[in-house]
Amino acid sequence: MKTSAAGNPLRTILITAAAAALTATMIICPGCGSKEKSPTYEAEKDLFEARRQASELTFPTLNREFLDRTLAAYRKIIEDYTGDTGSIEGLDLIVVTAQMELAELEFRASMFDDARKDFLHAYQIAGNVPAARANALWSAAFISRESGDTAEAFKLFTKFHEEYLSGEKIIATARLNRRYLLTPIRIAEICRETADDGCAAKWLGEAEMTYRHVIRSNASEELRKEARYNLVSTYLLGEEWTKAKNTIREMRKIYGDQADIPSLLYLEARVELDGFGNHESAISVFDRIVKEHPRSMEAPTALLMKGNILLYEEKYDDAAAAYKRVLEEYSDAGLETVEATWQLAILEELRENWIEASLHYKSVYTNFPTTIQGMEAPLRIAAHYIGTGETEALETAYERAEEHYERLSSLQYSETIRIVAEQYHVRTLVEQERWEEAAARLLALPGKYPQYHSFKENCLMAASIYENKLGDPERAAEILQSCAENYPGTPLAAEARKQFERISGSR
Amino acid sequence: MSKVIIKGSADSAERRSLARSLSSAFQAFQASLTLLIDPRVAVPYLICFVCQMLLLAAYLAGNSGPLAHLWALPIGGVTPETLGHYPAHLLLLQPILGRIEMVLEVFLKSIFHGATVYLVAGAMRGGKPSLPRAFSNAGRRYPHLLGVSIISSAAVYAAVLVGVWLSSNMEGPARYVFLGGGITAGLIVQSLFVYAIPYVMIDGSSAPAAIASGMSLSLRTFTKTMLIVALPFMLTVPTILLDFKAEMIALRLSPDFMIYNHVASRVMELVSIYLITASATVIFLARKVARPAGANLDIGEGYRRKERR
Repeated sequence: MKTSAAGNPLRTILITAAAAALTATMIICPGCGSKEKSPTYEAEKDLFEARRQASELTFPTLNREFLDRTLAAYRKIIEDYTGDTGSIEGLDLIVVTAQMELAELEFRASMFDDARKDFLHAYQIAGNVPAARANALWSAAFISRESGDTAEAFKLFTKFHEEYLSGEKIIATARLNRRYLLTPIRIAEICRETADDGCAAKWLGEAEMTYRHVIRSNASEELRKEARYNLVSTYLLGEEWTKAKNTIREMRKIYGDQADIPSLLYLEARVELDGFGNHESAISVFDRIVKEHPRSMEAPTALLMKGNILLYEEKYDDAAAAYKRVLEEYSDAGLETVEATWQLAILEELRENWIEASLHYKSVYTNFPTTIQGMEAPLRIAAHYIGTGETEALETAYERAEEHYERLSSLQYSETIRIVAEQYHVRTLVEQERWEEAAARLLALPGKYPQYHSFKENCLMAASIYENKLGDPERAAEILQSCAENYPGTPLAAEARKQFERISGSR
Repeated sequence: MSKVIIKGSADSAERRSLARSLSSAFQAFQASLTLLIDPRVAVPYLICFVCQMLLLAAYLAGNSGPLAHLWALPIGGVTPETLGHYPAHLLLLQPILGRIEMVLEVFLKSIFHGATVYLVAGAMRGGKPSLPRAFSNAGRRYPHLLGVSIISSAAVYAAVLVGVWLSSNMEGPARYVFLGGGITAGLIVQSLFVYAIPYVMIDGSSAPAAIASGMSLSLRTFTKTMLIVALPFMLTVPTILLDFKAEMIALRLSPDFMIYNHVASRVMELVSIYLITASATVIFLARKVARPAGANLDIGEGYRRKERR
């Protein structure tokens, strides 16, 4: 049988083309061209995808939908692979990494409760990853402290100290992360906040021992230097001024290079000022920093401190000159620039030069709205008008303050800024004695910021407003009852219950 | 009596006129594409492409065990264990397969070049191209094909590498000038060797003679030859540019991008290499036909003859 000229070759080409197409399709079609990879490989793939999603998130203006999607991606890795961690090598590291990154992401998104919970979970599962385990516990303690849960912070920092900073573990722990060395100081600070001087003294003693151990050890010079700085901080916190001064002088002999001298001089000046109340000596050291190390980080702060001393001594012209020098020579210094403008405003107020003062306050809240001075400035203006009794100006000042806090509570700002702005807004309402609005706002805040621990206590303040300012004990009791029900088993619930019983008894 | 001119003067006229060179080059491309009516001429390169895809599939499927040791061989500093991890496995796809293919290109692909030249020549002469005969002829001529392949590959890589090396020591626009210069030098060197395989396969020349004659022909038809090398090369420019940024794109989008980019660049290479080889063969054969003064090379003659038959 005769075939067409191109019949056979056409068949060959068709078969070849089909094979090529099939091969290409197998490769391009996900999962078709390759056999299933190992669970570790698949977990790494999922972790990569979660990280890619996390890298697309922009802080502080978080898109909630993207954030939830990313958090879900991390949680899925933990759920899917935790069961196999014991049997498949390398999988535990991936799960711990996902758990840590989930907690870090929650922290960055101001989801403090979730972050703490997830760090504690990471601590539980990171037995084979010591660095992650230590980081998880310390981070959980740090978050507790930042979110105002001092009891939990104390418990977790103490646990960290027991586990990582006892005996011979100190150096190994400090090598993981130098900030871990701060643990006893952090605990002492918490003790101070709770007015437990015995506890503070105990932990400052513990801190001194820890740092002396590191200084005596054969650890790296960098680590020993860090320990010396921490030792100075310990003495400053314990108000052991002479010990602090001697340690600083010793350090100046050891670390004679340009990088350390300004910071050591600054510490020395603070000891002269805060410890010995020696203003002249402090000013002389601050001047030395500015003169000998004008480009150091400490120079603008030294000028500010000098200005503050002179302001305290009512040497207004000299103080103003120091503050203006910060603005002129260190305009890019950030926080120091804000502080210098703020101090100039206070100085002008003291000189009874209100026009100048108000211009400085306005400059602070216009140019640096998210700083604490930027939050405070509108209410300082209002406070001036309360003093002078200018009702109309006072009303306008409060209106501007409310607008300012309203703007800072919008979603374009980070949750931390929004929280502070909300607190200032409540303060504005309280100052105006708009009690009902203040109470309503206080009660709304825990729902609006469920991650912020301190807002849960708003119910106590709102109840107090209803009871004492609005003369409505029934509503106060209602609020306290719901507060106790919402946070059962917490010290807050106990306090709410106590207040409730008091109000019910008096009725 | 038909007027036959001396070839040299036609070449020199063509070299001087860019329009005539362009016209000749496009006629060569057209003829190369027309030859695909008999699809056998494309089979050798299609086989190459399938092999490349199978190599890719093997790389994707086997990233652990003994295979991982094999993949880790071409590049230093990479352990087989690294290939078991994501996304390292995909990010290393390009350098690993690129180096393996480079070796295969020098030692094996010359057979496919030879077979293609044989099939194109057969189709041009109006004969019936036979695939087995094409491969058996290419196999017989393998030592010479390999010689041409080694020398031409070394020369092209050297030219490109000099440009890359010079550009790596430069900053700003000068860097791109030197990089572009290296690529242009590579294209010029490639165009000098483009007729060597037709000389080996059609004239039966030895490798040194084929290289010498090929260079001589390239220089005589320089503009046209450069065009048949440079224009198909342009098809591969987008994927070459993507290659430069492939890792960054992969990390931002998805590491799977490395697979798609690899497949796309091989498809573009397939089209480009067929056009270069077929067009060079078309021009090589057309020069053996005497032509009237002032006429362009009639490169469609062989095919028309076949159709008339």
